[in-house]
Amino acid sequence: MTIINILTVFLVLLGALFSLIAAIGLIRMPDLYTRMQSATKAGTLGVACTAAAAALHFKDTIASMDAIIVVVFFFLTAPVASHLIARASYTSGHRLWSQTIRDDYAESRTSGPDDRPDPEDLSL
Amino acid sequence: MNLFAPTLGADSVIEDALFLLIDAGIILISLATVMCLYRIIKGPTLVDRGLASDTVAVQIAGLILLLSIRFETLVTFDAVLIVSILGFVSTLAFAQFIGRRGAAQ
Repeated sequence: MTIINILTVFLVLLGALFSLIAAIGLIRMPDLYTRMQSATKAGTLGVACTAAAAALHFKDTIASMDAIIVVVFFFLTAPVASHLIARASYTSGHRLWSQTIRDDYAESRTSGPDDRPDPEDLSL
Repeated sequence: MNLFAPTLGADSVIEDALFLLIDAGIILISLATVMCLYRIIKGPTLVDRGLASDTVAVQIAGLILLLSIRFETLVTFDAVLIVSILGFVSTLAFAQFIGRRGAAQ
C-alpha cells in the first residue's frame, strides 16, 4: 500500500469515467459530428488514463514503456481516424445538425481556388 | 469476497479495497462498451455505426489494460497494441469505403 497504488486506482477510475462519458455522448448527442467529437476526445483520454495507470502499476520498465507507447499511439492515431471519418461523411453528403451555426468547410469549398491568395504574393 | 486477490501480508484488506475499485473501473468500461453497442445497433446511418465500432475498439483496449492490472499479468500488453492497431486500420478502411460510396452516388 503505497502512494503508487492510490495513484493507480485514481487513474483507473478517471479513465473508466472518461470512457463512460464518451459512451454517453455517443448515445445522447444529436448529430454525427458532435458524436464524433465526444467519442474521439473523451475516449482517447480514457484509454490514455488507463494506460498511465498500467505504466504506474507495473514495476517492469519494459511494461511501462509499452504502456507509454500505447498512449502515444492513441494520441497520434485518434485525430487521423476521426478526421478521415468526418471528411468522408461530409463529402458523401451527410448533413450537419439543423442547429449548427458555423460550417467553415462548406465556405472554403464553395469559394473556389480563385479566391485563394496567389502563392507568389505570400513570398516575402 | 475477492476470489482472485492474493490474500497475504498484513494490509490485505486495503489491497482488497484497491482491487474492488479496479473492479468498479472494469464494470464502468464494460457499461460504456455496451452503450456503444447500442449505438451500433440503432445508429441511423452507416457512418454512425463505423464511429461507434471505432470507439468500441478503443474501449476494448482500455478494458484489456484494466484486466492486465487486475490479474497482475504482462501477457496481455501485446494484445492492447494489436487491438489498437486493428481498430485504427479498420477505421481507415471504413473511411475509404464511405468516401468511395459517396463519390459513386
